[in-house]
Amino acid sequence: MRGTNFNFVNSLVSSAFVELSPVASGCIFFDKSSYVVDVSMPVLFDVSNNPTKELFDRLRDLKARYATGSMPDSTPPSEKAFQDAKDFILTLPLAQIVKPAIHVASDGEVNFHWAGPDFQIDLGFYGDERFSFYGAKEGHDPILGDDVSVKDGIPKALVGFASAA
Amino acid sequence: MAGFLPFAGKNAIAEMTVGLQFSLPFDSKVGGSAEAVKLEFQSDLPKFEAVQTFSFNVGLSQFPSANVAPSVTGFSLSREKSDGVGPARILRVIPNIISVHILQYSSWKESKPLAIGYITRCLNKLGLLERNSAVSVILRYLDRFTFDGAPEIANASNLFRKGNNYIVSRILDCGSQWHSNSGWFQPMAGGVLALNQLNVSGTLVGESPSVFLDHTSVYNFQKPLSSLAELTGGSDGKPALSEILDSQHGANADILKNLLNQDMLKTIGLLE
Repeated sequence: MRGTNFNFVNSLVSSAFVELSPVASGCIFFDKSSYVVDVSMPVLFDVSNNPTKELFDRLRDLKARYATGSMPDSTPPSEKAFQDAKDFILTLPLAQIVKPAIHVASDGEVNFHWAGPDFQIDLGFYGDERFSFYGAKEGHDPILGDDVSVKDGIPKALVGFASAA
Repeated sequence: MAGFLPFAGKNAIAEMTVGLQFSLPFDSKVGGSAEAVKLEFQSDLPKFEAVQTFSFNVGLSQFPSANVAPSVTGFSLSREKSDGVGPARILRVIPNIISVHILQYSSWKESKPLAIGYITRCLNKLGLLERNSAVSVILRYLDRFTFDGAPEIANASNLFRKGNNYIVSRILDCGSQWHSNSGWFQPMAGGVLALNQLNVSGTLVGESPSVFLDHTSVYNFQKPLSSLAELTGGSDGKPALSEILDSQHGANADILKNLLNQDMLKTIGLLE
């Protein structure tokens, strides 16, 4: 059947220039050399998976909800703390690691938390362009850090803890 | 401030695929070797699915033709992400392409040897090249960006550089829904002209404006290859698979550097 189709196409195209031959998922043009002009290969990724936008939306919700202190003596996170959190998200390899849960603490911290069957990571921003973290994973020594620049992004060791592969 | 974001933190690559295309559709011998390939990859890619081919023949009533029983002519093997939200990587052998799909892209340094390793291990088990020669190498990148802001201001000019070489200027300020598709040949490894297809589109995914950048590079061998040694090692000055893929990867990076604005290039690590 495919051969018939190509014979039909050949009859429409001047054979002095181009001849079409069948391949399973495309055409090969034979002139002086051959080119596949169409390749049928499906896209397999999930279009609905949108972690960056979901985390930005979560921060927007928290910012609106906690614009003022939620409890007596509590401090709402600063605009800068939310901005640091956004900047940090854009350093995360979210194709490799699962999304963190994001909360705010009564002392004005924007907190990122990852938890899996064998690991936990806590990471927080106060709006000084720096963050602190603590990570623990079964079979590994815990790691912690303070005053890490947001621009430096998540430490490699933490990526290893939270990897989704 | 409103703007486009890479879909996954600093990652814009939603899927990278390396494919090897053959001159003929795979036959039932490929299905017969599926078990051996399944065993070979049982720790890397534990989920196996056979693909059956059905043939429906439509004939004239006075010349009835028999329909062919289904046969296994391809399969796919995959590894799920640890959080169970979909595949991390897939090896597909169907219909005349062996392809490795990487959906958790980390870097070219890690992904290229992984893909070449999967393809060569698979070819070793299938013994395919002796009866069905390889005609082309395919590298496909699918990048995805999501708009953070009101959909009515999600113009492509928030993501793309004005005066770029690849999309028509008309789409830059015409809202969130558009497409711009093109194809061209350019010299790659060994001076071979490879076909590039670039399909760029703006669309709504749910309520979120998204931009998809789908670049496929098809490198046809000057002569079909029928040995694994020739494919992986090159011969007579012809480039090896690794070198071909490097040139295709470089072409993709050049396209992105020309298309995307400076901020996005910095975010995804293509500009210091």
